Amino acid sequence: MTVLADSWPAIWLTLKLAAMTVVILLIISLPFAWWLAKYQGRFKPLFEALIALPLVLPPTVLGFYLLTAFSPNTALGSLWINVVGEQFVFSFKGILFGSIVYSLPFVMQPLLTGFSQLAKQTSMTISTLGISRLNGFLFVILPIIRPSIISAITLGFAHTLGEFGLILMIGGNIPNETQVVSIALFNQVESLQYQQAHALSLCLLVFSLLSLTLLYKFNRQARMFAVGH
Amino acid sequence: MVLASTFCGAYAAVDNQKQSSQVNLTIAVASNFHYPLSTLIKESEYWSTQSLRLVSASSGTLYAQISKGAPFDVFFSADEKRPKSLEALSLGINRQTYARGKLVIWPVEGKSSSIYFTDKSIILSGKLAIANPQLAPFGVAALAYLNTLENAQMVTKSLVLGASVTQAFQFVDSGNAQRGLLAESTLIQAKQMLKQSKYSNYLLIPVEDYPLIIQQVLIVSASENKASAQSFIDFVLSAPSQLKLNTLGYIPVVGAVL
Repeated sequence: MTVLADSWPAIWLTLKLAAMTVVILLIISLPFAWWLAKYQGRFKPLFEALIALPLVLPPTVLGFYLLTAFSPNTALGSLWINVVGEQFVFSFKGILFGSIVYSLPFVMQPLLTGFSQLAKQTSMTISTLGISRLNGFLFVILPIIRPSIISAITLGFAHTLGEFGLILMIGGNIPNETQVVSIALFNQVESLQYQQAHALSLCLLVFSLLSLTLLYKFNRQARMFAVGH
Repeated sequence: MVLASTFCGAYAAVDNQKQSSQVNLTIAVASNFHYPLSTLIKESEYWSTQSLRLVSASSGTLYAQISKGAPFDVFFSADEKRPKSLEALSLGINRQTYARGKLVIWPVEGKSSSIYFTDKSIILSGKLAIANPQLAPFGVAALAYLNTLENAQMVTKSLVLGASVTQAFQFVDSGNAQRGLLAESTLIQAKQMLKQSKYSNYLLIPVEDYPLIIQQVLIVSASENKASAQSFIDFVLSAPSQLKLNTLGYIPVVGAVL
C-alpha cells in the first residue's frame, strides 16, 4: 500500500468533504422536502425542476458560474469574503458549497419520495396524537422514512466522492484544501504515474461498491421493518 | 477542422484531380497548441485544402490514448517528456522540437508586452496562478522561476495550480487569482479572440531565469501515412510557419528559420 502513501491527504480530504456535504444537506433537505411533499401550489414543478437541475447540468456549467459569480471582483464574491473570511474559489469552503449544490438532488430525491408516500395520512394521524407538529415530525415521521434517509445519506456521500468537473474548475488543486481524490487521480494519470493511479482507482471502486452494497442490503431490512410496523 | 473541410469543399469544385490525391491525416494536438496549429493550416494554401482532423486534448490524455493504440498519425505534444517516452516505447518516430514556449507575468498594470520583468520579487495580495508543474512544462518553468525570487517562500504560499496553463490563465482572467505566470501564446490568443487590450498588459520573464519550455512533435509508429505526416511536420518547421508562430508567442526553432 506504499503507492497509496501520497494519496492519504486527498483521501482524508474527500471523506471530510463528503461527510460535511451530507450533514449540511440533511439539515437543509429534511424540512424542505417535508414542506415540498405537502405543498401543492403552482410552483411545485419549478421547485422540483430546480432540485433536479444539478442532475442534468454538466458540472462544468456549475463550475463556470461559481467561478464567475464568486470572483472577488463581484458583489457576491466580496460578500462571501466578508462573511466567511476567505476567498470562495481555491478554498475548502468553496468546494463544500459547490458539493452541496451538486449533490443536492441525490439527498433531496429519496427524501421527497419518502415524504410524498406518507404525507397525507400520517399528518392526519399525528394531529390525533395530541403531540406538537415538531415532535410528530421528529418522532413519528422521521423513523418511518428511515430507509429514505439512509438512501439519501449513502447516495449523497457516494456522489460527492465522485465529484470531479466542478472541483477541477474551482479548486485550484491545493493539497489538504481542495485536492480531492478525483483530482489527485487526474494528476496521476496525466503525469503518467499509472501505478499510483491504479491503486487509488481500485480503492475508490471497492469503496463505492461496498457502500452501495451495504445500502441495498441494509435498506431492504429497513424497508421490511417499516412495512412490518 | 471545420475550416479545413470548408476549404476542401470549395477546392473540390474547382479542382477534382487534386481531391483524389488528397492527404488524410489525424493530428493529435495538445490543447494549447490547437489555436496556433489551426491558424497555420488556415493560412496555408496547400494544407487548408487537405483533409486534416485535429484531435485536441491535454498532452497526458493524448499520450495515454496513443499508448493504447489511438489511430493518430502525428502527435504535437506541449512538452518533450511524453514524445521521448513514446519513442522509448517504440510507439513514435522522428521526434523533433517544433516550438519553444515563452513565460510571462500577467497582468502588470500600465505595462505592455515585449518588455522584460526584472523585479526580484512579486508583490501579491491575492493568489498567483501557474500551471500544475506535474502536468505542464509551463508549470515547471514557472516554479523554477519563482525559486529565483527574493520572496520565493511567500509567493509559493499564494500559489494555485491550473490543470493546464490555459486554466491558470482563466483563474486570473475571472479575477479569482491576482496574477499568473502564463504562456505568452495564451495571452496573444485571448487578445485575438476576445479583443480586449487588458490582455496586452504582460511582461516577459527573462529566458535565462527558467528552463527551456520545449514542445515536441513525433510521428505515431502505427500511422499508415508516415510520408504525409512528415511533410506536414516539415510544413510546421518551415521558415514561414516558424515566423508565424513567433508572432503567436513562441520562440522559433533555431535552424528552421535561419
